[in-house]
Parts: sequence; structure tokens; C-alpha cells
Amino acid sequence: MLNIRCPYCEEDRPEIEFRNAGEAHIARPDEPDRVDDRQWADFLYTRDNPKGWHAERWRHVHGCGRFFNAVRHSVDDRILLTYKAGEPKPDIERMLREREA
Amino acid sequence: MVERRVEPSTATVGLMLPAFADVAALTQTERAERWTLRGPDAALDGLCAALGLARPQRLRATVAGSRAAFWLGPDEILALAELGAAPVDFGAGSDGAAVEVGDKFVGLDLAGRRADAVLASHCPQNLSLAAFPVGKVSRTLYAKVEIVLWRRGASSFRIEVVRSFAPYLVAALTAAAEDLAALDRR
Ligand SMILES: [Zn+2]
Repeated sequence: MLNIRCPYCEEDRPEIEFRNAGEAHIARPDEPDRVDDRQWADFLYTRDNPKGWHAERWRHVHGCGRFFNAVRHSVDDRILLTYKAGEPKPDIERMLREREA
Repeated sequence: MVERRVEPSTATVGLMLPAFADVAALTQTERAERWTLRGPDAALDGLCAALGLARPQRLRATVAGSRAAFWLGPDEILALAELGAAPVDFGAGSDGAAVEVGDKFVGLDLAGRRADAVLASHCPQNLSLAAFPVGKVSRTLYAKVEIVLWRRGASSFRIEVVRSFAPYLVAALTAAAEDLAALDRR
């Protein structure tokens, strides 16, 4: 079982208390009626699905109830960090370089 | 604003509370009034104060007499009070919300020598005293159902569970306790 750090509870919690909610930092167009069908379809459906590090939304659904973001490796499930909803997407490459150093 | 008073139902939950006293004792708590309090900290301060309680800090409870408030999330508190007290005046103009949910939950007390082991059988959290000290409260899972767990003593817990889940929860706790009792006898 994975342990995931909830940035609101500030604790490592068992994975079963959480639910994955897909790719993070997908911004809804400010004016939906001014985007064309292609852009709207991209917003709704087009996702990166990378093999590697991935910023994604999680919800501590059986805990504090809050949505937050996590950077998780899609192959081996390592979690680099978790951070509160609304905080900017971290510079993953730089974090990894700093880890190596 | 004085809340509209909703009389909690008198329907029994129909729980069969078995005796597994050599491992732990499970009892249903008295029917109580409960509120879900939502809002930013300043609003929660006021809503808790209306109940005579301090706002609980992260993953903790505050208690005053027979009333208690549990931190469930950054903007969510579950408050409990003895049935039959005067109606609570939560005040006007608050940007928080107080919703009466007295019949949403059933309260269970689990206490005894191996209460922590009974819980650990199906609760994924670390229930050691270091990780889950006395006074801590957390929403979590027990087997397949969500519970609110409050540690009142080293071997004493209060569980709040959604009413319709209670028979399942009691069955799961009972099975865990019977397993532990059987292991003890070996
Ligand atoms: Zn949380």
C-alpha cells in the first residue's frame, strides 16, 4: 500500500483513504463560448498520460475531504511531493536535479 | 438566527451489540444532537463558540461538558451535544453553515484491553499511541465504511458512523474481536 502525504492533514496516510482525480493544472477556459469545438474538446478530453513524472489531482476523500495535487511517477508510483490545490505546478526537472546533487 | 429544531427520530438502529468483553466492549452511545459546521476559520470560531466550544485544531477534538467538536477538514467540523439541551443560537450573518445532522450518525464506544487491535484489524491508519495519540480524531475507514474515529484513552475510542452503515460496522468489529479472542485462547 502506498502512503500519501496529505498537505492539509500534514500526515502520511494510507492510499485507500484517497482517490485519484486525473491530470492536474487543467484550466477551464475563462470564456467557454469563445473557444472553438476543438479547444473545448482538448480541455475536456486531451491529457498527457506520460510515462514518468506526472502532476495529478488527488482527493483525501475518506479523510479531510480536500483536493490537492501530487507529482507521481506513473511507472513505479513514487511520489515526489504533494501540494495544496491552487499552488503552482512545481519545476519537476529542477527538483529531480536538486535531488541528484 | 435560531436554528429550526428537528427532533431526532426515535427509531432504533437495531444494532445487535455482542459481548466480547474479554477483548473489548462495544456500546452504543446515547442519542445525540450533531451538526456539520462548515466555513472559514473565523466563521467556525463563531459556530463553535455558540456551542460553548473552542474551535478544534487539525486532527483534534475540543470538549466542554457533554459537548464535543471534531476537526474533520480545514473547513469542516462535526459537533456533538447531548439531546434535549436548549436550542442553539448560531447567530446571524455568519459566512459559515451549521447543518443539523443528529440522525446521520450513530455513536459507538469501543473500549477495553484490545480495543486498538480490534480497530487495527480493518482500519488502515497507524493506531499506535505515537501516531494516533489520545485526543486525536480523524475521518478514516473501517473495512468498507467511512468512520470518524476519536481516541479518548489509550484503550478507549469513540466511533461515529453513518446510521445505515452501522449494522455492517458492528458485524465487522464483532468478527475482528472474535478472531482476536480466538487467538488469545490458543
Ligand atoms: Zn487530508
